[in-house]
Amino acid sequence: MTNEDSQEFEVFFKQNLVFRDVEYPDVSTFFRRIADLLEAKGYVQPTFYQAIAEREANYPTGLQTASVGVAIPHADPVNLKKPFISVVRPKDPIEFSPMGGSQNDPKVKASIIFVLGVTRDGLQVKVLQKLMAMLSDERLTKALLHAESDRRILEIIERFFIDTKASVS
Amino acid sequence: MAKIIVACGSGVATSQTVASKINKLLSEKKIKSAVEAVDIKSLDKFIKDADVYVSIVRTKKDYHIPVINGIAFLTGMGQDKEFEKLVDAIKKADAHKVR
Repeated sequence: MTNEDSQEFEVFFKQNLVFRDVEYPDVSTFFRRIADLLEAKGYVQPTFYQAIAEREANYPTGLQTASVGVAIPHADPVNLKKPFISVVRPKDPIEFSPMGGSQNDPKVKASIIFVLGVTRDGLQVKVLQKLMAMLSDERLTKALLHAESDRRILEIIERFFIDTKASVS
Repeated sequence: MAKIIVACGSGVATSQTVASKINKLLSEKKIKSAVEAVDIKSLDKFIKDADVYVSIVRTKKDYHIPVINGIAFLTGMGQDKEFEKLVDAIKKADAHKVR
């Protein structure tokens, strides 16, 4: 049981894909920089930047949970090389349009961004369910917002993934 | 059995996650239904024989079936209310089918 859950964590989360306290002037600069980093590390195709920026413009991913503003941008799996989830905690929140809304709606100020490099293998559902459950928990989001190292951020996520069953509601 | 359609931009991440959550909530209530996640481009094709539409992306079209806010099932905010609406819509659709 624990093995399967920790594998799920290990497939997606890498310490070199945690970015803390970086300043991004706007969402398109954010996508440009993240796409370049992910491409340099071999996770995405050169098409990724355009794919994720276009998708976000058409289908925005800002989400306000009970405790924090987040965003879960993602692109079609054809733009990926291997699965990943990049955890970004910007210095100042980045404004994303709300999921289900339009450019004209009030923005979500995202303090934590999960760039989802997920495919259709079924794991994406488990992972996203756990992420959303984690982000609804005020204690955990506070811990994520105040964590003082990349390693600590991943420890918080890993512990939640291992302690919580996929069936979290 | 009522057919529920969930749509998002790609049909991969968010719609699948919301569909899975709805399946779980409905099975806990022992309500039988068919929940399907699709990408928004194929929504028009799939919605023809659907009874309820769970929306994650903005839509201007009127599909003439009940629309439920799918984001509530992702964030948990307002979930109870949307789930209640969903159950009502399913019951109405099932009653209609029996007649």
